[in-house]
Amino acid sequence: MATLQPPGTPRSTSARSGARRRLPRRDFVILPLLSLLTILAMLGGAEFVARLAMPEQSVDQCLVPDRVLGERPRPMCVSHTKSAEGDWVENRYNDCGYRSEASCATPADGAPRLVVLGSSMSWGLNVPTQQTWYVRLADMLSRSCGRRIDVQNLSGVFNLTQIAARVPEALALKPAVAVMILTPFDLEGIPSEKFVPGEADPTRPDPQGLRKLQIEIVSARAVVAAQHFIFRQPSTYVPLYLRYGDKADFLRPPFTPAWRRRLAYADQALGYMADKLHAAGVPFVVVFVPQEAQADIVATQQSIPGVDPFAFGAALGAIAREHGIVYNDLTPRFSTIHDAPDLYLNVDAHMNGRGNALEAEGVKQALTGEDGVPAFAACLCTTGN
Amino acid sequence: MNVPSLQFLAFAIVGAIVFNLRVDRLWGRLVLLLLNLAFFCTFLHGAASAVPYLSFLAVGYLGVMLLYRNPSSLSFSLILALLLGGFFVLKRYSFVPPSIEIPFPYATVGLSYVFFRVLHLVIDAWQGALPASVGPLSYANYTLNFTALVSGPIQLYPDYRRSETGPRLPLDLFVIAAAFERIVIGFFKVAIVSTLLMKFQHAALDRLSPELDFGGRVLDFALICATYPLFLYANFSGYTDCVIGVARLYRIALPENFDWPFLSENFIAFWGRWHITLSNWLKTYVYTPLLMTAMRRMPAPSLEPYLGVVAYFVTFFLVGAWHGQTSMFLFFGVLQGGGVAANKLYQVLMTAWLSRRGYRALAANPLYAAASRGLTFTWFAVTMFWFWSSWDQLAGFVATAGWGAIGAALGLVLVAAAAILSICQALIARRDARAAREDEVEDLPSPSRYWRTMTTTAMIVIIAAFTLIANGPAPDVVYKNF
Repeated sequence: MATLQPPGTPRSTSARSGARRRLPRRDFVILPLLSLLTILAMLGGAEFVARLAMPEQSVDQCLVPDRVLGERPRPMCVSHTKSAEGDWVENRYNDCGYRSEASCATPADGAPRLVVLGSSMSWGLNVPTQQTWYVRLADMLSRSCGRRIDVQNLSGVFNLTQIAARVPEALALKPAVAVMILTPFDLEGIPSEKFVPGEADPTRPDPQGLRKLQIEIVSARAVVAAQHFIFRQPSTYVPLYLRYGDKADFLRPPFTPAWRRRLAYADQALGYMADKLHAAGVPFVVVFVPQEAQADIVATQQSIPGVDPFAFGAALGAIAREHGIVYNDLTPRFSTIHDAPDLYLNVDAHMNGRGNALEAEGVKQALTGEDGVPAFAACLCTTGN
Repeated sequence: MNVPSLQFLAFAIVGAIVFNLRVDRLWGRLVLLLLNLAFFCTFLHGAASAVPYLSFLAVGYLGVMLLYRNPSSLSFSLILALLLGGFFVLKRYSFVPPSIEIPFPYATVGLSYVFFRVLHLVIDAWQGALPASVGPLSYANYTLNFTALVSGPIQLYPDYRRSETGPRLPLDLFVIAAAFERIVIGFFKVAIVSTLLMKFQHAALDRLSPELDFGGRVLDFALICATYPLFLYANFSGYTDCVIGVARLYRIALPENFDWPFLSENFIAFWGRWHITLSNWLKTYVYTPLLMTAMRRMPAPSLEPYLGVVAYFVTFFLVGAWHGQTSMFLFFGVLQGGGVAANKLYQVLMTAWLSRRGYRALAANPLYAAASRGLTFTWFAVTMFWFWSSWDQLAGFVATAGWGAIGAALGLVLVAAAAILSICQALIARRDARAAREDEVEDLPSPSRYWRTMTTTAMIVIIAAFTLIANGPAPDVVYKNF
């Protein structure tokens, strides 16, 4: 039986080149099968190693179903979660079920109260509490103002309708200000054509068939690990992201009808929230955080035909100002940041601890800036910041 | 076009399919010419950039033709001077006056390797050693052969000519599989092994500082010293594996360039197993004529071994100096020539002292052989400092590590190399013995093709994952710069 010649051994080649060699028929099955098994074994090994190196606990045991919010935390509950890319996070929910260290009762020391509304980015999802933007912000403001700042975080993995539904609850806390972090993906999954306050969370059917398989593959830890390294490189990540189609079309002005509809929806939702808050005399601050690809484009100063990384933040800014919302767009800040991928959990798409520090700075700037919130502008003056 | 790269591989595979569509030789030669020209064009920036290169080739061809018909010494001297001058000008050697430099960018891809091929044809034509007249198509395909253009190997014309006129090399499923396996191994060496080794060396370079304790400096300097030869081997032999595999798809058997060089037990043997085609070329066209001339002028038999020492020095000084145009490479040449000459002198003196038989017995002693292997590797690793660093960097290493740590690090490299390389030698000897047995027994069931299918697949998966994750170009083939 003849064998394949090992590389670098012409001895064997010359010894057998004269004879007509045949591969045994079974090898036409065995060899491809071995290749396939090798690939599967390597993928399995990679998954095993990735699971060891990047453990994940995505289910928050404190969350219980809610008709409008989808899920909300149980009061006085503690849970531990971890994204594959991030650190372990201890989620502590207070007596009202808000992610806050302090009780939701009126502060006895008269500390000014800041309520956080919004989605996962506002919540500081997958970020250890001490590194979240709102804890950092409270620390910074406390140092500047010389007094404790009370923070109640009412955000969660919500869409704009669900965020708006929490406004009455937020107002009941008698806050000095309401703050919200907004990102492009907050607008991706709008629930219906028109904003309807208090609309119940629509039930989504579980994915089936090929879609389910696709989700399983994409969420495999080895794939997440590979994506983590790939997405950290703007030269790869930006072109890949721009191929997403509708998902990435917020980067391409003039906006597509789908994104115009989303902006109109945001206009209605933000208008509704601003009206409620302003009617109660509560200033409303919105800080826009760019998506990672958007940040990469600005940070690397790429010029891509048809792509404008600033357009979406500007469009949201126009809407916010129309409703008297104090607005700060963090997109331009990335022109002086050269390591934008280091500020994000690259696959998870949320900001990490360092990114949260930038968010805290952005919110502080909005609160204490010229058009900011008077109560906090005074803090800026006293510290000379 | 980078070699090796996926583009190169795609280009080569498509070309090989077209090349093998028809059996007739003219078809194959014409397809190869088109491929060679297309590959060469990927290195051009406008038509003018090809003119100096093609002029050099044209001069070479006219010289070969002239010397083939009229092999006079005067013509040979003139053509040799013209080719050497042209080569020095094209390669911008520092001694070339700026006034005769070519004032526009031009292609120089693989010029050194083309130079050796042309010179070999010119010398053989003058010596009457060419088997037949060299036709323009054969000349173009031989000198510009895209599989070996960038960094060799330096194939000799008669060997190339056999692929045009000799029996066609078989290209069955086994050969194709072996060729692809060789290509994958080459890719793996360049993209994975050499990249990792380069990163290890850079990490050690970054770590080395005067603040480190003595042990840390010894370890880092030892890593800096030992990883570069391994990197260079993975890089260059990986490239060679790749092009040999590709050439085989065109029924061309390129010569081997490496034969486990670090297992050599002395420096002379090392140069017989490292960049084999270059050292063979220089042995044929420099060492042998030089030694013969010297022996004719000084015919005393007692002088003969010492003339060999001198001829070795000159030959391997040229091998080293060929690598670059700076004083670093001249010194690299001195160290290569000095190493080989010292090795030869040692052999001469030991043979005189112990007798030929006694010296052979000593060399066969396993401990002596292990120490010799370690010393050969360490010497080569030390000479490599003049290959990859600069005088300023060298001074920096001495200032940072200190002579004491450098000495200890070299001792560590020697001992580690002696032990590790001797184990490798034993394993390879065992593998070769097994392969020899399999060759003898016709129907011995061999699991190797299954094992090799799995390892090749694994390498492809690793290359794909690494390429995707690293998203950077593989390290360039170092020897393409020479």
